[in-house]
Amino acid sequence: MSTNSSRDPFGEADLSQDRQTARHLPMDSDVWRRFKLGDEQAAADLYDRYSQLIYSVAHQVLRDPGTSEDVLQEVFLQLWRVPDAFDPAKGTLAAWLTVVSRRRAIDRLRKRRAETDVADLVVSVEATQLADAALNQISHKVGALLADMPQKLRVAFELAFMQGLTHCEISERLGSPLGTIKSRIRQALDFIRKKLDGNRANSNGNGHV
Amino acid sequence: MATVMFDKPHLVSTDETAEQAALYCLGDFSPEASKRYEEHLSSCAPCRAEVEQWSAVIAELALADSGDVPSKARTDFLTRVREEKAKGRHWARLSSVIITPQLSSRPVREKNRGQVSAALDQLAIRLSGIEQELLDAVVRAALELCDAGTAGFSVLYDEEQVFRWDALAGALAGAKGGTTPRTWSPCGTTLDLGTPQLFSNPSRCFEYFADAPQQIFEGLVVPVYVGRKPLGTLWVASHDDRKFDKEDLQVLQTFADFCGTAVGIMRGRHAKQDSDAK
Repeated sequence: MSTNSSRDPFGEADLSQDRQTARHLPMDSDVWRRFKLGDEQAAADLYDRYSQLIYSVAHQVLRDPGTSEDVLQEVFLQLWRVPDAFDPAKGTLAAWLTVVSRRRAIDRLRKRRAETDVADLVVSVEATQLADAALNQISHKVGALLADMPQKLRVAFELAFMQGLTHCEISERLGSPLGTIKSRIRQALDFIRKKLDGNRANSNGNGHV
Repeated sequence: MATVMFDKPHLVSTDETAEQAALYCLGDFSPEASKRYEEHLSSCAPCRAEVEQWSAVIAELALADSGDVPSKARTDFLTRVREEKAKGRHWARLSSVIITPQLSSRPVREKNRGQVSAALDQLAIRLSGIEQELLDAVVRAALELCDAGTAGFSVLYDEEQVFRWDALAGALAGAKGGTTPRTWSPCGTTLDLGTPQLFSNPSRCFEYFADAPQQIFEGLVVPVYVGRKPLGTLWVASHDDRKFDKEDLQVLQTFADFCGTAVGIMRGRHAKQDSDAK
């Protein structure tokens, strides 16, 4: 594990793509303190820094700008109303927002499925077809990251990541033991992490003349 | 739903801790399981690091795979923030630190009215001097007669929307010149309410006080007006278990009234001198 667990909860992971820039800007804990005090400028600062992250995480699951924006508003307003819901002792704000946004998006996705016939469709479609359908929706960039992932890992990961299925549901659908599915999901994330690290290393290397 | 939960912090990361963290980050846990896992995170550095790692991967994939946030979302959010603020989130928090009604039920310490009169006589002599010296003398007198840890005069600067501690005596004297926001401070609240206010542990609400070299146990704040215009506030604070009472309020109010009148006279005189000079 290469992560530094004692870092500033408002510091961020080492991500390098352009649109992630706002997420990396140094934010001293004074912004958070002012936010907790109800300072509107601090609310705007936090929004500027994390709105793209929350929106994107929600959009990854929901694939719809309108409901993704609803999740964005919901998550930020919740934080504004109850700032103590985030506890810096439990991790960084970015990690917390990622998890909370994803959870909210999955809740909405499940609700949407329950309200439409898609639930039946999801149940009836073969797991691999469902995973392939998810793959068709993702961008070329993300598709390239998943392209050479072993299929068993990819199917489990896409069902969890894109379709928001739990590992119990995936286990049921694929007829594989729970432990196997958990392990595949973890291995898939690890696979992507290594590819992202590799891409970063390459682009950094290219950047040096 | 997670099948395994952790009660004790881990010494190192394992495949199992990595799997649990991955499921948590993917939103696999029920709300109850998430809550329990988050409790575990507060004491387990290896699991925190796992969550950090997987959430960063998920975030990076998501950021690479979605469009931009619609621009009107920012305006919508900030409008809601302003609306919520107006609705009284702040007042709910303020109400937890304002304990003014307690002044009427507390036992009153004996005060020497002679000392107050003598202090006013001394202050009156300074009427022919400069405003700053008068304020300095007032806070020294308030510090002594209210048996406070710190006494201060916060002058309102309308244009900057701040109060500046232009006169301070006692434990926090080194903070002279410091400012607090007009919109979010005990002084601002007192002026908004237009009557003296007693605050208990104000740092619970106004968190910037937590950085003060001495924590404030109680703060008694009295508005000061020149005519109808607010000049600022006169206040005393305790840093131990000293509790202010009605008698302290009376002393402070006497000095505050004197200050308002005195500063009015001094500024009027200066204005006339300036006008005569022109």
